[in-house]
Amino acid sequence: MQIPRRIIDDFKNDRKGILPPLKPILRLVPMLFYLAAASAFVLTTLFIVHTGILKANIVVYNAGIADAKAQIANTAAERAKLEMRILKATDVQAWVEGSRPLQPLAVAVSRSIGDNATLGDLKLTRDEQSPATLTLTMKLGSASATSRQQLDLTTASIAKDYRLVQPQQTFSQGEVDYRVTLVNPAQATNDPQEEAAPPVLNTP
Amino acid sequence: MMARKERDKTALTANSLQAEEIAERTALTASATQLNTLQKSSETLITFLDQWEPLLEAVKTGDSAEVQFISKIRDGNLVTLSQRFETVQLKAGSALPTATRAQLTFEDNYARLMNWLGGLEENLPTVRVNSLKITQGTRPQDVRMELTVDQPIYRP
Repeated sequence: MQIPRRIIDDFKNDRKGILPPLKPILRLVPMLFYLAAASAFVLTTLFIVHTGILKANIVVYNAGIADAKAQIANTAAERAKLEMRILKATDVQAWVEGSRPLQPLAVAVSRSIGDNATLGDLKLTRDEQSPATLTLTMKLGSASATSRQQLDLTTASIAKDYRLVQPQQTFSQGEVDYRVTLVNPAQATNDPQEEAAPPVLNTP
Repeated sequence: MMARKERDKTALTANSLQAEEIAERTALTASATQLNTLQKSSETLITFLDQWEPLLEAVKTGDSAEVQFISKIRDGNLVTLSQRFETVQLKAGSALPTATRAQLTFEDNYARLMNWLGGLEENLPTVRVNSLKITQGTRPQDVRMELTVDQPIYRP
């Protein structure tokens, strides 16, 4: 059955209470919605990418820290090794300082003895606490008139290489008991450069 | 929101690690500088040790020191009145903790004795003659020489 168009029109209500059309500016609402959605997507992507970069940086920083720590450990080990060698060198230097040959000194004393004098005893002893320091004890015999001159000659021969400290001498009937402490001036500087290098030995 | 929080948390960690790395690098530079300074200041001393070390290392034990002394005495062909060897403590914990001490008494011609002593001190530069006593010998042309000599045993 067909209903005529005129009758259908009659079914319509009165349109007095209908809302007025929306303002044109409100068209921005959906646009802003989609913009916000797109921004959220872009920002989230950016945050994720940035987080990835930061994580990569963390790996680099961790590697850098580990590398620096390893190098610090190496440096510390090298320093400890060097300090050990310095201690050894100091011990060796102290030994060498206190081991200067005595033979040249004994020979110098003997050679200083003139024809009119005799060398009774000669004793050279190193100080236990300071081996670079020597104690020389000797007994000179000569005519009483020349004993002092002989002693001067002998001490002059020693004084070429050593500083004479606290000399004690006793004269009695042409004999002189002489005792003196000898200090090598070069040893007082405590500089290894002034120490003699070890002699070059010929291998047999 | 979650991504931002995660990013901020990661950034915080990264910043703290970066600061730690900078601190470690600074410490490394300081420690390297100190090492360099120490190397420069000890250069002479280390060169000195390098020169003497081979000579000290040549005598590793007390027995080898004793053999060395006996060999020198035999080579000198001197009239030996006595020879005694003992191990003495020098300085605990040092590079030269012990030494072999030789107490020797000779009676021979003065020149021969002096030459032998000179040779000993020259050929064995690491030995230390602790005491030397020269007195009149039994025969008029001889002298008696009493020696105390230490040969250090090096601890490399």
